[in-house]
Amino acid sequence: MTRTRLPTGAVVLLGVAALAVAACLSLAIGSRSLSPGAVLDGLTALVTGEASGSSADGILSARLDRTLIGLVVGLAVALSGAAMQGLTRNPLADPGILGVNSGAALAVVLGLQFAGISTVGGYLWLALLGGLVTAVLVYAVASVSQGDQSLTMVLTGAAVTAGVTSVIAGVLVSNQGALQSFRFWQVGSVAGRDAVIIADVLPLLVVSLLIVGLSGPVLNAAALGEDLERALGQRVHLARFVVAVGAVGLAASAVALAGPIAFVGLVVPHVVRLVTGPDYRRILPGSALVGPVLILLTDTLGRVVTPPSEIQVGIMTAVLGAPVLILLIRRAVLR
Amino acid sequence: MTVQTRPAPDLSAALGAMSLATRAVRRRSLVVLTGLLVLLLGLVAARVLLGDYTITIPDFVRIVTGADIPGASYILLESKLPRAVAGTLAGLALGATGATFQTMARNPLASPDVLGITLGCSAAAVSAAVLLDAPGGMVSLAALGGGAAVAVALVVLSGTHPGAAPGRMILVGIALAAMLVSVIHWVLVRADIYQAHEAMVWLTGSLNGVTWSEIRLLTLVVVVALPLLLYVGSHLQVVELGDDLASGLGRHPRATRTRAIALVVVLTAATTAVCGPIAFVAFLSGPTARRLLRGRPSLLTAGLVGAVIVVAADYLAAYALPGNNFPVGVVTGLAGAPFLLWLLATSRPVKETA
Repeated sequence: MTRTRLPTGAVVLLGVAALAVAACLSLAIGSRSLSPGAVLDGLTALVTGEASGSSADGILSARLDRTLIGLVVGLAVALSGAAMQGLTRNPLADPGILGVNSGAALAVVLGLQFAGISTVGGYLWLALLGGLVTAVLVYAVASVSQGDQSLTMVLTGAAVTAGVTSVIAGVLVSNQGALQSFRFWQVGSVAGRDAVIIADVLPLLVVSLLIVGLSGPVLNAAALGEDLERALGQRVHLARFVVAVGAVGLAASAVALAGPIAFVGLVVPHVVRLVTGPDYRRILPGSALVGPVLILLTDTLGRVVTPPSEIQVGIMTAVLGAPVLILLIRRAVLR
Repeated sequence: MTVQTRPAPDLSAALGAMSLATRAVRRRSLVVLTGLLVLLLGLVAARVLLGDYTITIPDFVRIVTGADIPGASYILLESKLPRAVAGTLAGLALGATGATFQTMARNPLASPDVLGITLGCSAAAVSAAVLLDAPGGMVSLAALGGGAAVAVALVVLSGTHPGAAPGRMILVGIALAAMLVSVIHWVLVRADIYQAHEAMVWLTGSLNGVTWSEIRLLTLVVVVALPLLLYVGSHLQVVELGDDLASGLGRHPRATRTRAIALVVVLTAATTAVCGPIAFVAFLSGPTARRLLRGRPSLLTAGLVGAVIVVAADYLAAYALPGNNFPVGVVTGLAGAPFLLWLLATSRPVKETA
């Protein structure tokens, strides 16, 4: 059965246009909204370096920072989720649900408490380490278990998250300073950060992006199941391991930049799949476009729902993403 | 011609064997219950008398009967005794509620804390306390509302009941939990740092600041709701056989389940309102009790196991690392997570009933 599809070029164009609109909204809307003209003037002023000195400049520059960080985080989280879903053949996989974000968070808290590490560059490697350890643990438990794989994986992620939460709580209740910085970090937010921090995560981000971006064939083969995959001559374990490290690397980059952001990695690949079909060579670039759109739109929405205060993007995605997860659970033939 | 009759089955011998087996089970549960009671009493005594400030038994009796010993009276009546009493009550409630859900779902993973009901209580309570600055009574009511809302959402959203498709219900519970956790994180950001610290201690599950008026509330709820739950629980074992058989045996599976869920929500809400969500106690107690009884579920035994866990964990949390007075939830969380992982790693394929 063939499905009538829009031509690929048109879909890509649509995605890019959506991204541009989302970015413009993210620049223009907030507790003090700017007109499109003011945004444009401000941007040209920033580019040419001729700041007009108006208050709009400051607002725009802060919004530009959070828009850039939102772009990068959306890209990283969505690709990470897509790769995890492909690798585990589990429609419910996502760096948050599988516990990778919690593992990363634990490593960050322990680094903060015992080594005094509090820079994004430091967070990054701790987050990567914590995320990798968790990923290995979750994968190991799920592959030893004889129960339902998808369910076991999700539950293992939840178990890790619960255990990690206890350890973190143990640290935070006895260290008010750590609590003060951690409570703002753990909600997941792209606001109040300087876009310069993107440079700190750049090496890991670029390498992981390359690995995951090119992993389409590996993920397609993984979808066939391990036996068929081996018969087709794929070096199953090595290729998968490399892609898994890339996926965790992306999740760690996002966590270091913005804190843990829930459900974006889960939802985006499913939305993309509706348009592209099951081919990961299409799902991956699609996710790379839709992830940033989703982050930017929810972040913008979070600025206007409870004026004058803001709701952080991590909270928004969790509240909006949970119903989607429930929908997926009901649709998947899970008992 | 003689008609060959089959020898009548030796009914009395069969009945005798059955009553022997029943007696063995009864004896076993009696031994287990007594053992757990003794263990619990010992732990409570240790919690009250030992630790960083030792109170002798004669002093304990004199203080409880009204004598005022400077220093000792305060520590006993404002810290050690309330923590031991609240820990016992909370453990009883959590253990029995956990085992109720696990029996109902025929799945050790389906306890109220894994399903997110406990989180519903905490999210509502912490929102009421921090955002609305509500007094204690309102916070308890909020906890009740939050727990009930999650229980209803679980049943409605998973389109099933805990007896039929535990896997789906557990996943829906995890989705709801993720949402509730982010709500809690949001509340923590809105609070000032002192409120946030206080909320953080409570959210970890803590007996540190329990007051006697809170204990009175918890006692009232446990004394009323726990026996009811034990009674409903005795019907649950029939319901566990399957809806058709249960209806045939004159039990109403739907009504029994609804009552059980309602009682679980009430007990969970009261415990959470007083001590916060003490991680994994509800989840750990049922399987432990079942193992002690060689496979038979018992809510009372699970309750006693829960009490033993909480009091022992609180002793460790308070005194294991000198100078640190951790909330009890840190210890139960640390112990519970590996157990859950082990349970997952060794799980067999689940046979489901449609």
